Amino acid sequence: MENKDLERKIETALASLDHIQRAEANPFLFTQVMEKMTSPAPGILKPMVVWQLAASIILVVGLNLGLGFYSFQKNSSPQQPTENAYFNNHLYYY
Amino acid sequence: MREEDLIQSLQNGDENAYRSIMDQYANMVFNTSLSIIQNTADAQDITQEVFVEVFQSIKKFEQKSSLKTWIYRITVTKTLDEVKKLKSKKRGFMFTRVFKNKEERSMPDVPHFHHPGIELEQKEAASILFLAIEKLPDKQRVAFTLHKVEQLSYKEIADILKMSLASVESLIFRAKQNLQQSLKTYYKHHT
Repeated sequence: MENKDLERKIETALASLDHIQRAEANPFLFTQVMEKMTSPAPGILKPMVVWQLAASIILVVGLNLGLGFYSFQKNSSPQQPTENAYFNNHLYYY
Repeated sequence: MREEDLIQSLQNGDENAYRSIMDQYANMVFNTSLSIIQNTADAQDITQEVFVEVFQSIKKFEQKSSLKTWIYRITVTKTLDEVKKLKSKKRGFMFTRVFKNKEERSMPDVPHFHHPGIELEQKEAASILFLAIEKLPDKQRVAFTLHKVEQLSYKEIADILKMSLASVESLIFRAKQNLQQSLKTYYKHHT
C-alpha cells in the first residue's frame, strides 16, 4: 500500500512537466542586448586610458634604466686610491 | 524571410534582422536556460549574453547546422558555464557548513524553483522534480530538460550536444533512472 503510494507520487512528479507552458522572456530584452553590445564590457579600459598607462610604465622603466646606467658608469670609472686604502695596504705588508 | 537571407542580414549588421531573430528565439533561449539553471534572474542575464554572443559571432557562423541548433548550443554552453560558477560558489559555502552543528548540516534540500509555465495543481510535484533534475550530472540534466521541457526529439538533442543518437538515448534513460531514485529518496524522507 505504502509502496503503491510512493510509486504514484513518483509518477505524478515525472509527469508534472508534460503540459508545461512557455515562460515569457523579458520584454525589454532587445534594448538591453543592444545596450550591452554598444557599451564596453566591465573591466575593459578605454583606449586613451590604456595609452596613458603604457606611457607611464615606459617612463618609469626608462627612468630606472637611466639611473641604473648612470650609477654603473660612476662606479666603474677609475678612482684615485684613498688615503685609508693606502695605509691599509701599507699595514698589511708589514 | 529565408534563413540564409536572415543570416546574411545579421552578418551585415541589420538591426531589423537582430529584432527579428530575437522575436523568434528569445522565449526559446530564456526557457531553455530557465529550466536548466532554475533561477529567473540568472536565466534573463544568460538570455542577454546569448544574443550578444550570437550577434558578435554571426560572421563566424559556418551554417553547418541550422541557426536554431546553433543558438540552442550557445544557450546550453552559457547556461552550463553559469551552473559551474554557481556550483563552485556553493562549494565554498559548504565549507563553512562544516563548522555548523550536526542538526543544521542534516537539513534536507527543499524545492525552491517554481516554473512560471506550470499549472497550479502540478506546481508542488514539478518543483520536487526540478529539485531532482538539479542533482543530475550536467549532460543528463541538459538532455532531459531539452527533451521534457523543450520537447525536442532525440535527433535534435544529438545535433545540439554534438553526440550520437545512441548516446542521447542512453543519457535520457540514465537521467530517468536517477530521477526515479532521487524522487524515491525525497518522498521517503518527506512522508
